[in-house]
Amino acid sequence: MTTLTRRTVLKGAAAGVGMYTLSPMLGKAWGAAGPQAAGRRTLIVLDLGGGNDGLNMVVPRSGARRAVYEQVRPTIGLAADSLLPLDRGGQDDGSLGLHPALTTLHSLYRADRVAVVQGVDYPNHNYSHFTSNDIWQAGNPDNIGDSGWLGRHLDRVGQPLDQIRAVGIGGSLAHALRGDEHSGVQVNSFGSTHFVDGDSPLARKRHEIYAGFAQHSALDPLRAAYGELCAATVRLDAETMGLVAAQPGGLANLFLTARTLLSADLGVEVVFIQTGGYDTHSGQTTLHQTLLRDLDRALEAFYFGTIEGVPVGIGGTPGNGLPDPLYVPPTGGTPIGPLDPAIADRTLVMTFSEFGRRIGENAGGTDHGAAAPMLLVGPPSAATGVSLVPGLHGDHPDMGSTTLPADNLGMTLDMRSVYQAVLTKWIDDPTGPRPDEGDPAFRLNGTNLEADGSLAGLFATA
Amino acid sequence: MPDLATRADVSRLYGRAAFGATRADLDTWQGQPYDAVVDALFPPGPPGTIGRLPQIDEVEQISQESQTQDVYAAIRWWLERMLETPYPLEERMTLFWHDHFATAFLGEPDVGMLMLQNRTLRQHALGSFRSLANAMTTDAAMLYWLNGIANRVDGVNENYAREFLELFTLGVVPQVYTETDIREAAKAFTGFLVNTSTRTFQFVPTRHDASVKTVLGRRVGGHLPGSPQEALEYQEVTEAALAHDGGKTASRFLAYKLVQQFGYPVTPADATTDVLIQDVAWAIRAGDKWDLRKGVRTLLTHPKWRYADPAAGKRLVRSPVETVVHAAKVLGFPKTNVYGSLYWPQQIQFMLERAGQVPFLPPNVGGWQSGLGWLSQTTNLGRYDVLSVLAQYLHNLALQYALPLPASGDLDGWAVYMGLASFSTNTKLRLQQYLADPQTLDEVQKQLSMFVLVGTSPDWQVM
Repeated sequence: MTTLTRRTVLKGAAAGVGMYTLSPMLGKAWGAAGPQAAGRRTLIVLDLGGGNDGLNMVVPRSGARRAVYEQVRPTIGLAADSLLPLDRGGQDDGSLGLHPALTTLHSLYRADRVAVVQGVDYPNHNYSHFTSNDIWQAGNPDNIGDSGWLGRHLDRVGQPLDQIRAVGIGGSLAHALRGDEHSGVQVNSFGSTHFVDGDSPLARKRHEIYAGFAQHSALDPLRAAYGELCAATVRLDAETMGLVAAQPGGLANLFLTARTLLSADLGVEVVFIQTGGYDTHSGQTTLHQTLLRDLDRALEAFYFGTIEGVPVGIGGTPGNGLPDPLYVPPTGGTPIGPLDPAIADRTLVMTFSEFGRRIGENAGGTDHGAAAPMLLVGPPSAATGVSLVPGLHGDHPDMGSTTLPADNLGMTLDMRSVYQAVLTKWIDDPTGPRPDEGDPAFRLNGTNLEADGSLAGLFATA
Repeated sequence: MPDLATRADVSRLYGRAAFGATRADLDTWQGQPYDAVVDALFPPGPPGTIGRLPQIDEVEQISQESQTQDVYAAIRWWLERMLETPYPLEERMTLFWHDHFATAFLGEPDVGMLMLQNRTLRQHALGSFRSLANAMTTDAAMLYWLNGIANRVDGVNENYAREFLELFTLGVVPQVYTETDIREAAKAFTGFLVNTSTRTFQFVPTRHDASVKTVLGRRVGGHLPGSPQEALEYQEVTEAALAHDGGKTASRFLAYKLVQQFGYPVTPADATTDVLIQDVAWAIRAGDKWDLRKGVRTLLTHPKWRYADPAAGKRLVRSPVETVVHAAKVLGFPKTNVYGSLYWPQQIQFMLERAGQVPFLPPNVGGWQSGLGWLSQTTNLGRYDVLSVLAQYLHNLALQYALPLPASGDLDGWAVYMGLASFSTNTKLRLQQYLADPQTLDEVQKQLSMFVLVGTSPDWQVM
């Protein structure tokens, strides 16, 4: 049986917010984000749940890989001339291209703001959605455990009670954000952080009593953990008062919720966004296009404040999120405009999925596969001391030959190398993962994962 | 000396297995033999028969109407059924299987298919797991949801086969099947289509892979094309899964899930050591019968289930659906004309969404979180909102439909009204703190606040 201690309960319950002491009604809690928190570099991780078909996101346009691609994907394969070439003023050879739905991402690529890390996976790949996603979120293929790779970061840096340092958006609180001592806070939308009975004196009195459930006897640990969450719930309601985000529909809603949090400069350092639907076993052509279009519009809304070129506004009417020709755009509201360049300079967006998909199609779709590329969007100049090095990183996995196509894309880069680079070079985590110290998940037979040279140079310092 | 049920027994039994106790449940069953209280929860008749149905077959009616794709009508229908059924355990088990074979409304499958699946889940909820598993393999909604209809000899689709072994029968701790087993099982599952007018499956031999397969070391298929045996080949995969390690693997996986959802936090690794899981698993697989009624009865009468471990406290977090149904039950929400839904506030489905569980809309094929996974700040808001929306709704209706609420200051009366045997020390203190606050609220408002506060207390939320 699970040993149920107060600590494990709190961890599982994603509380980790400390004891409730003062009525949250007595004062606004945000005051103390402090100078270190302001201007902190930020990471937005996007989980493309279901297993994104990396081979139809970053696609061979020419050469031997193209020949294999066309052979094994006769119906879902994308035409070479429809792809958006990955070339930046002749710096990449253009033999790969993006899915045609990713127009915003492509323009960011050509503006030197996108890195494509190829062939990422972990040893002894697992084909289960749930196990594989757990491994990615734990950052630990050898022992999944209770904590996530970003939760352990929170444990290392601590999380002051008056700050929301890590936020989950979409779904329920992610494994990645759960540490042993500290956890992220789930904020799916700003509407979802307030009590439906409002803040009348009657309601506030109830909330105060409700927060007092935090003082439940520790001898009854699960009830005590629930009680502590009641206090944390009341505090979240107070702390997010007044925040609003444009909600034009689709994945953009989650990205714009993140944007409001970053713009409010509350000390948020990590945002983990969960979306889904990428499990394209059948009907892939339309489905994947819809998903990637939604992703691309979310990036457009986040960086440029527009969707399909139309300004996105707070208080406007949402669009329907569908691809052309069914698309209905969002309308109206107070335009949010482009992202503040200072925030763009300190924000890194990174995608992952629990696995890519099989190289060959079944009949209009693809089954669960293995390695896939990760996309990173970040600043090309080191305004905050660190910049993202754009272009292709790592090696494309072997696809076999037309006479003997590979079944799956194999790992050419361990996902922990990417995590390690992000934690040690982008996020300010001075005690973070190093060989034989810090995070044990990042030890690989006692060697520095980065030492193989496969991921040198994802970031550059000023 | 007969083993009589205490008020605490009735409160916990109903709380965890029957969408919560009402004052009437506590009064009726206190002092009765515990076994008799348990037995009364089971529908009469042999396994596999539906318990007493409401006046009309509302399943058919909804399934006809919901070509409209109105999943919210289906949600409200099911909530009402949970509230009104004389056999709440059957409904609780139907919800359990909906989580286990989690299928969501996405347009296709349509609401009608989901309603028919819901009926099938209920038919087998306390029957044979073997029959249930086979019924799910050929269920129309499932054939859409996990791409069974795209799975054919010239384009094998692994989606259902993988989840059948991983999520529906064997689990992954330890993982006893290989990727090859999945590919072979997928071939055995080829050949199904759905007749969209009847919403039933068809087996199409020309789409089926007639080769001999090996699944978990057993020979599957290889039948004469077009033969009756070929049409039933999918059942051979079920047999291969159930037979693994003498039935221990599948029965322990099912028992683990029952304990996790009805009992206390466990991990799959506990399945080989936890006495309760072992006993329930044995009851399920005994005689190769896969008798769910026997398994669930073993669970509910087991001392390890009945009594809270004093060193660990209360350890089952009620689900959002259980929260709504129990709250409505104690308030005495009126009987309605089956699915009229006149008396559910429309907001209830949004509150359920905030709390993290909407029937017919599980987040993915893995189903919902459970236990500790239900809890976060935002889902806690949803739980609070469920209670406050119901209270406000009743207030707007001038309480004409509610069972009379206790006087605001009658703490013992509130415990009984809400189906609790007693209050914990801190909860009692908090409620007294509320009552002692000088305020000008009228008595009805105080009563409604007491309802919200008792309902959101740790005592009520964690059983």
